[in-house]
Amino acid sequence: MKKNLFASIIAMLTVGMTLTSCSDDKTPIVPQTAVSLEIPANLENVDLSGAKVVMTNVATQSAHVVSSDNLFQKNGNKYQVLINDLEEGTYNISISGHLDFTLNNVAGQKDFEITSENVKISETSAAVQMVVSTFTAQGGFVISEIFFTGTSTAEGKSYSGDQYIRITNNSDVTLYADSIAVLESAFLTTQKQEYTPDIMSTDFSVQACYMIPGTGKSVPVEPGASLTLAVNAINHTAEQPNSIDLSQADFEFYDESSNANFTDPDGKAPNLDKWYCYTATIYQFHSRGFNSMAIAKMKATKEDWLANNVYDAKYLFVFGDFSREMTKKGIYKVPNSWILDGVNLSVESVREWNVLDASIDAGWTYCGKVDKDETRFNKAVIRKQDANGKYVDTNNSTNDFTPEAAASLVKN
Amino acid sequence: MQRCFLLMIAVVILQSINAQGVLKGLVTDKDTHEPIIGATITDAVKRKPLTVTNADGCFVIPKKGDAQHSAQQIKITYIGYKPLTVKATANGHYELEAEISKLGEVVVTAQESRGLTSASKIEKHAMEHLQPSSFADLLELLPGGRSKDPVLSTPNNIHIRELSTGNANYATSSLGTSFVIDGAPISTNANMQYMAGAWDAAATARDNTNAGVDMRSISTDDIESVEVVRGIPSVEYGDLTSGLVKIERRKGGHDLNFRLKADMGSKLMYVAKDMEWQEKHLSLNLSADYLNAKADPRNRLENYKRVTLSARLNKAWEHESYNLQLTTNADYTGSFDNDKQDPDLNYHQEDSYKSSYNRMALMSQLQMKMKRQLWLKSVGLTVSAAYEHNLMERTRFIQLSRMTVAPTSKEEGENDAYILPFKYVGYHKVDGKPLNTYAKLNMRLQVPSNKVSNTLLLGADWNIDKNLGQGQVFDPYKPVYTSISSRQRALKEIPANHRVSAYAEENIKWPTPVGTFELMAGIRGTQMLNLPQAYTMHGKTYWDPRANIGYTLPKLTVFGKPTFIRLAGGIGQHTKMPTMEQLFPDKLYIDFIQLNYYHDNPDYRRINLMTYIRDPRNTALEPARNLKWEVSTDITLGGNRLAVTFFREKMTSGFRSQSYYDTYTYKQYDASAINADALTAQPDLGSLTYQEVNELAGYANYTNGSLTLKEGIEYTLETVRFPVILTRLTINGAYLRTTYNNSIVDSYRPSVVIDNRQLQYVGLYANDDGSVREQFNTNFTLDTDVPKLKLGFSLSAQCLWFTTSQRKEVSNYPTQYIAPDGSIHEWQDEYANDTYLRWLVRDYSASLFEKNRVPFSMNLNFKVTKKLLDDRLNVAMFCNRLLNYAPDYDSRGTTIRRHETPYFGLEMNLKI
Repeated sequence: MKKNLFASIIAMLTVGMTLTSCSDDKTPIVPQTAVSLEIPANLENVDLSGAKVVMTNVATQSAHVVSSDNLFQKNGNKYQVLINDLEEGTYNISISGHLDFTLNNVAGQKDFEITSENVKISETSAAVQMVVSTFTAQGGFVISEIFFTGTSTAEGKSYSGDQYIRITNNSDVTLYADSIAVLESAFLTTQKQEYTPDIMSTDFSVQACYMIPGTGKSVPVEPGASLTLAVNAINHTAEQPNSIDLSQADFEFYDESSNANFTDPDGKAPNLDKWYCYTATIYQFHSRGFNSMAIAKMKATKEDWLANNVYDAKYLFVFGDFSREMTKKGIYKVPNSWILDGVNLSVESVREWNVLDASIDAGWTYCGKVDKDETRFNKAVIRKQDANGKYVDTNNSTNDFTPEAAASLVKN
Repeated sequence: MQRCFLLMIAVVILQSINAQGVLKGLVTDKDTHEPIIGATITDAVKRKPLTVTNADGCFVIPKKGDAQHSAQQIKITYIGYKPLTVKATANGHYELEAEISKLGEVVVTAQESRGLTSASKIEKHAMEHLQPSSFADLLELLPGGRSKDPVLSTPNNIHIRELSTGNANYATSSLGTSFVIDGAPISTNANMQYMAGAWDAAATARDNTNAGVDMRSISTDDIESVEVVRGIPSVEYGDLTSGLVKIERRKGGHDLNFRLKADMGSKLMYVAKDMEWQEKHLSLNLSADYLNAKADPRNRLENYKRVTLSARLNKAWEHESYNLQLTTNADYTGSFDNDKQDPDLNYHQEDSYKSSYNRMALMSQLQMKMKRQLWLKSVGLTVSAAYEHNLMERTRFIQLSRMTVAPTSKEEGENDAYILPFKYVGYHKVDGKPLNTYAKLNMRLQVPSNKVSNTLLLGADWNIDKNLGQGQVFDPYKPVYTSISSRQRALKEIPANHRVSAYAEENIKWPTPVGTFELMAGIRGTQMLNLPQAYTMHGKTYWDPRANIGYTLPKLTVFGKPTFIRLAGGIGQHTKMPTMEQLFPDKLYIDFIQLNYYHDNPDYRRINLMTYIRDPRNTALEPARNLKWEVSTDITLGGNRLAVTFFREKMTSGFRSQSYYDTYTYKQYDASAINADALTAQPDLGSLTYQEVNELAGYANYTNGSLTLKEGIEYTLETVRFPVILTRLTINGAYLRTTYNNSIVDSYRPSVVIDNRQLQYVGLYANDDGSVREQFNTNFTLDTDVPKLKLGFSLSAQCLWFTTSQRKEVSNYPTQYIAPDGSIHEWQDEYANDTYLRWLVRDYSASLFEKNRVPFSMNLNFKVTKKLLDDRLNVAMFCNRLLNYAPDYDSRGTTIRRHETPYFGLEMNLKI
């Protein structure tokens, strides 16, 4: 169980503030100095807490400290604090604090401390501009790996119980994974149909939606850290030596069932909240990768989403001498605006189209070049990393992913 | 009823008539030597009708003093034959010559029977020309038939007058077609060869339970002639709804026959020795046949093999007053399906399916024919027994991808499930040993009359089906099919099906100056015995009245050619009793998971189930009944013959498997309270809290809900052989229309999971599913027989003018729904927007119910036979779809291209 393990770091600053310079020199006093703090523009719903401004007079080494949150006035993407009766002079300024925000709809947090040295403050220059530049808050959660093929056993059979998907916080701020859902496309990339209505540019049609539960800030993920979401979060190597120990996975796709034909082992990992699934049998990823996958921040309540996000699509089905207008009834949809990342999966020999809008994924990736390719086992699609270790995310999985990569959790 | 029957027999035997003071004679066809029934004998001088021939072609004229008698000139007339005026002699044998002689005619097509009801007769020549691998290939010759490539890797069922969809819920037509070989029916009623729980095509595609005879297993090589009764058969034949296939096999002869056949999918070898000792009236026919077919010639591991062995002994004794004929047949049929994955490609793991069908049949028929003028003309007793040993085996290396349980409890109640190992070799066999015994006593009586030729047929039969097999045999701890919902039960525990029937039928032929009237009318009563009292059928007799009438106009002359016109019609009820599986299906075990607890330590895992047992037998099940009527005309003009039949068959009570839902209660334990680290054993249920939950679960049982309505027109035009070109044209075909409909409320529970639980509602839909299919075809067959070259060839243009199919429009909306507590609620329109109930609205789109029409296509088939070496060697080859014309067509904006490839075969027949 992933607890909120993020330790809030409280900046411990030196306490030389008792030393106050008291001079009779006629150093002019600046009645009001405005210190403004600019935070990265792409953060939304920013909330500053534990903020502290320390203005140290270079000449006297006296420090002026403001640490009351309510003195920081929010104005757009800026905070401003007014400091009264400051001696004119040169100051070293340091601002630290804690930011809570949403980044691309995902809740996040970050501590910061920025400094600026030798800032001259006078009556004519009583405004100080500070920019939070210690992080850029670029990126967010990405799908870093999908292991949908399963492993192969010593007997040459496929073993699909060890499928998993990993999502990684690709930003430099801590993000919360609460309410992020794993979505599987309702349409196959290997079967193109002209669906009416065609909602692909605005919504993603899904056949499975499993959401990470939480109260909003239950599942913090530090920058660069990943969550492993396993189809069965158990130690598979006990039964299947070539497989994976997924008992430490962060979440599990658990399928509660009363039918003895469909028993899903319930490992220790917390279960995803199964909002919707097209089948009452056991859920698993398409082991050849015919469905596209996405992650989305669910912005509606379960009841609301279930009640209001379903539509029917018509299409012309042609098979041999059979040609019929068909209805695919009850397709759930998730607005593209909720989607954090998506990956089209397919197989070259049978691929027909992408089922995610190009703004989410303009390309596609794969394991196996022909249908039922037996060489695909033990392989995954893994997002590429740049020189800094950041995952590449150009919204084009052809470019961003390494197809047929050795699955990161499979030994050997 | 039986007592009555015995009394009648006694009366009849006592009623023998003094045969003295009469003049007897026999009238036969000059070409076929078959007796002519209903020929009129007239005093040639006085022009006064004397009598008519009876069912054996015999007549009797009372003597009027010796002197007068010896000089009596008689005139024998019968429609279609040249009148014969001859001086009567004692025990005279008179041969009538047909108006158009068919002597020496080689017929390579099916011929419409001359009987009152519509039937196709297929003779040996036609089979030699067609070159069949199994009986299924012969159906091409029926009206509406078309050549098809043999598919020998799955069972072949017969569909007379039907455009089948292959849907098992409409299989009563094939189940209700009776195959009678040399007088003994093949029973499939105790066929329990289905693999419970199977989902894989290897096993399900070969399931032939409740679908009747698998025609693959019937070899054609010994067959002398086949009569496929499409219309209303005599009441002598029962336990059928849709048709009768009467197969007569060769008797006597002196040949040693070999046949070798190969086509693109199979090889066939046949050897037969015919022996006959004419002076002893004794003959013995021995034969063996071997067929080896592959679904794909490149794959040796998926194949079908058939072995048939046959010994047929015939002995006749001739006495002054009666002839006695004894037929004794011993037959073996082996029919074997194999389907195996190549172990080299399967990591040396076994994955195989084998099915063997071994049928040993013994039948004996004793026929006594009276020579003297008695009311009783003949008595026949047929006794047959068939024992089958059928074995289906599925062996498969199983590797599970997730923890799976095997429910093993045979008791209702709470129990812990066995958690299967992740790897094991599963083995499942189905052991069936159907034993069928059949006895039939049949007699023909005749009321002497010199006005009408009449026969009264009386008889009774008794059929017993029992299965002595073990049924489904598998290790529940190593199941091949983990989702199996039945447990083992020995088939011998199922009570034997007993069926007794009695029948009476009057056949009358009444020649008059204004034409000949014919009537065949009878009734058959059938009852199933040994049924538990709870069954509706218990003690109930089902009556099948059947009647056919005919009227033949007096001879006409049209274009200077003798012309005969017959009009006929019939109506009849047909009854097929349910099979053993339909009456006594396996019990269903419904297992609900109460606790699903997983622990890293396998010893601490626990899956607790609540098991319910449901007996899905439907005691209200009744036989399937088919009411047929037909009218036909048969016109012969100078030897050219046109037969047209309009028919309608309505079977409202066909068998179908229908699902029903009931509510069940079980406990849902809360496993979250278990402290995994503190466990030292499996979690104790007593310490867990639970919630009682209701859930709906379905079961299927057999009902009489399938309607099959068959309508259509069948036609056959046969010309004479045109002299110079030595060619004869046969045009046959049919317009067939088959309507299927389910009259039972259907139920459906969507499989979707909403908010962690499968949808808890079941929709009920009135009068669900159904379809209408039509087909209109004509086969133009030109067959040429060049006796000088010993060459025969035929060219058959098989035109399919169109086929259509249309699904019956059904509502997407349920009429009612069932809630988890079992309560039934009326459907309201606003439910279509409810988060949960909306899923009960199904997704049939309107276009699904549009008519789909496939336009014209034509195949050109070519067949040739050549006799060599003084007719001892017959070489034949065929090519189906030598030419295929199937133009592209548009279907809703999509261009459909059709393409078919030819199919070849050749064979050699050697007679020594």
